[in-house]
Amino acid sequence: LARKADSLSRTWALLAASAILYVPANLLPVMHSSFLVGQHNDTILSGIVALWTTGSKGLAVIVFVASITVPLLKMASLSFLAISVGRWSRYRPRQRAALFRLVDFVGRWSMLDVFVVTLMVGLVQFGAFADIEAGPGAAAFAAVVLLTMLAAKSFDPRLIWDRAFGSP
Amino acid sequence: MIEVFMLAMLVAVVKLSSLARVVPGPAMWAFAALTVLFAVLASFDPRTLWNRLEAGAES
Repeated sequence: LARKADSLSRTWALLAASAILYVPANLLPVMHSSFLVGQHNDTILSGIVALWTTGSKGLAVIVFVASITVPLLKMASLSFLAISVGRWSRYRPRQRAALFRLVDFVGRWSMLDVFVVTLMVGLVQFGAFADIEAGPGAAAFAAVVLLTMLAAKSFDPRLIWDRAFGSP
Repeated sequence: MIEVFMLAMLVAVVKLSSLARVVPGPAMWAFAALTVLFAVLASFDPRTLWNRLEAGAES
């Protein structure tokens, strides 16, 4: 099979885009709720805090891992892989290949918060009594998840082996 | 992706339960069962097809 074209440049471009969007994804509200008694905005983190304080600590931990830990570790791991491949590193190719498979497998779990916002927006449509809308952070967050998934897809793990056992 | 959506449904139900009374309907249980069955299906390894094919060619 042919190697993926421009694998490293594409991976870096998608990683850079996702790192930039990561800032608004976490700072802007992902969900805007308005009720008869008032309204409030929820960011990714405040949604997790709300889950924790209302007693669903297990779910809060799962959402924290899926929405905060996984995207961060994914961007860090892909950067590490891209740097090591770019420098023709011979460092532990087997472990680096395993790390890539892990990153590829775990990435989709970050879609969790996007689905939650989608479901909440769809379910809570009671006009003036209660209404939930997606905030600008939701689009940015979904873009981060998609871009990191595409970055993982565009990275060619065979480069790890090509370059661990070859020379520039 | 279906198992991610299942968990998202759970989180949404928990979040909603602080606003209103939420009772999971029968489709919720059906969807949960579907998720489990899909996980079982996904554990199928296509290599068994080739193993069987080669085993059949030998005998």
